[in-house]
Amino acid sequence: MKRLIKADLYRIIHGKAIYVVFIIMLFSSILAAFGMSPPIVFSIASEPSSVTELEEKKEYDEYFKYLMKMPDDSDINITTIREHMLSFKYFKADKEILSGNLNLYYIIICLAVIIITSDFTSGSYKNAITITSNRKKYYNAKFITTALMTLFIHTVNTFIVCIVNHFINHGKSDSKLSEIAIIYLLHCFPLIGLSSLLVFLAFFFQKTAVFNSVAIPLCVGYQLITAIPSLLNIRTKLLTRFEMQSIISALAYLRTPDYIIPSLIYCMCMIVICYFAGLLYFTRAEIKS
Amino acid sequence: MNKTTGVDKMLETALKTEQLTKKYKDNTVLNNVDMTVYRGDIYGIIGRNGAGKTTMMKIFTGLTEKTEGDYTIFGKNSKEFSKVKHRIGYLIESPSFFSNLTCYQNLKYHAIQKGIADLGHIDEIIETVRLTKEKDKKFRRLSLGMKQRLGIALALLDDPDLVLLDEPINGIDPIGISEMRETFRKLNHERNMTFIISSHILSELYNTANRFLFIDHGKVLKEMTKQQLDNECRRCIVVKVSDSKKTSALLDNKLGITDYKVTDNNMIRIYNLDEETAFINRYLVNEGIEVSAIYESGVDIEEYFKSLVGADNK
Repeated sequence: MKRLIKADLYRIIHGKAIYVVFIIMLFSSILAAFGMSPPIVFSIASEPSSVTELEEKKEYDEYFKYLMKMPDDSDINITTIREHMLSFKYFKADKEILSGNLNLYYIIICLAVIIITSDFTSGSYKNAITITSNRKKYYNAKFITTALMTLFIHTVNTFIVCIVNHFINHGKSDSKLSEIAIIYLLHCFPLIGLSSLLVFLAFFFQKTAVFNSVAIPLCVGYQLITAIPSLLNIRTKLLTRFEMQSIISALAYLRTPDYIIPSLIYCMCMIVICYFAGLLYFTRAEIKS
Repeated sequence: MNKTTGVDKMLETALKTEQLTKKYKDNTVLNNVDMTVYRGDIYGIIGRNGAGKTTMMKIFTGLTEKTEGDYTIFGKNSKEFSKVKHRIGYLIESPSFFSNLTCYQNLKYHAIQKGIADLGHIDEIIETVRLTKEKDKKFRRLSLGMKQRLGIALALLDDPDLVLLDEPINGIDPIGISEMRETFRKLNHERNMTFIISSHILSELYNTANRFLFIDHGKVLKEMTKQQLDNECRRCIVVKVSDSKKTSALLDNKLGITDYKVTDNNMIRIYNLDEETAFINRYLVNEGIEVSAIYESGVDIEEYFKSLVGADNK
């Protein structure tokens, strides 16, 4: 299995796709850091649980007031908003950008394509299964490689966000390293959960085009589904509570055990269920030509 | 009299199947297949499209599961298959590689998977299949023949003892085919590599293999050595008689013909063509033997295959 992982890493390094992913990550981080990533988290999260969070909320309220006071004909753009937000004491752009880590879902789709579906599309998975391993080993290797690459991308993204934010905002909007480290660790769980889901989908659909057509709208699709009950005036707290964007955003801000523990358990369940569903399907399915 | 050439039973068996059957729901793709491949054989599998050749190879490589029966590879049965997997190289259907990687990178990717420590071996293999000039070309830029060669290179990558090649010369030009044939023979001769090759190009398979399996609709029609095939295809006089024992005695003692073979249903194939058909017919009738048919025969491998398939279809 180590050999399969090593071979996949060799292939990833010698392809262009991974470098394109890094460039996209860098570019989006620069944009987000410069635009001070407009706050969204309090629209979906519960009440602040600490003095710092309360202060943050006040700043957000002030931010909204600032926007409301702007004359109708005023030219509101990123630069003017940014100048105002740089005066905030508690607002931390890096934390704000990391709370939007769901964007990495689309990067993980790219990883699943590079690592798994390209194997199926080219047919080279048959080489691996035939000569070097059995299907279980092959599946495990792909599962682990995708998870490792997800963690790698998550790590690189965290570094890029912190460094880009530090330089672009001249250190005025930096969080403490310990805070960033906690967000990084907590976000590992939902991100591995998403990678497990995508591994399952990749093994289920196998061909890149079909996989993409399902995986890309899935995230938005789930968010739309969670919005339907609220349209009907039905309480949707539980449904939105376990929506990935909510989990990722809230784990960046609301670090109270009563929120963290159920979120992490939910993510762990997602990892286990997706792993076994993919394994069972792949080991029993007839190999397609 | 020609005696059927028995294969030396002391030879090591590379692959053996017993009543091997594969069914997809109600469709029986392989039906009680019995075959034996000895170490050092170049074993040709001949069959039409859908005969079951590729399915058979897929079973031997673990890409699909058998339904009934069993097979052994180097003495290990299907349950112990993982113990001998590393001794098998294969090319099944079209060669599958990553289009964005070069020939060398694709082979290195698989070499890492196989745990081949000596990466210099990749260059040797590339040279063996004559792809040195295309070594740094991306797979998607290769011609069909070159892709096929790369597939063969992968099959040979870690010096396997048994190589399974499904239609290996598809898309290769005539000179390339000749070079591949020489390569297979050389590896077979020098390294005692066993080859199982299926091909639609029967004449080419005839030039390469030393043993043959004819298969149609999942059933084995015949398994034979090249010598036996030559005898079957050789020009001869076929006589259908009422009493083959008496006819044999007359041929031996009276006419001095020893190069003949008694086949099923009182059929005798006389390979000595010095005597005319009419003379043999007249002589046997005069000796009181009822001759119900007598004719000259002799076919090439394609004709022979057609006759086998035709007989089976009837």
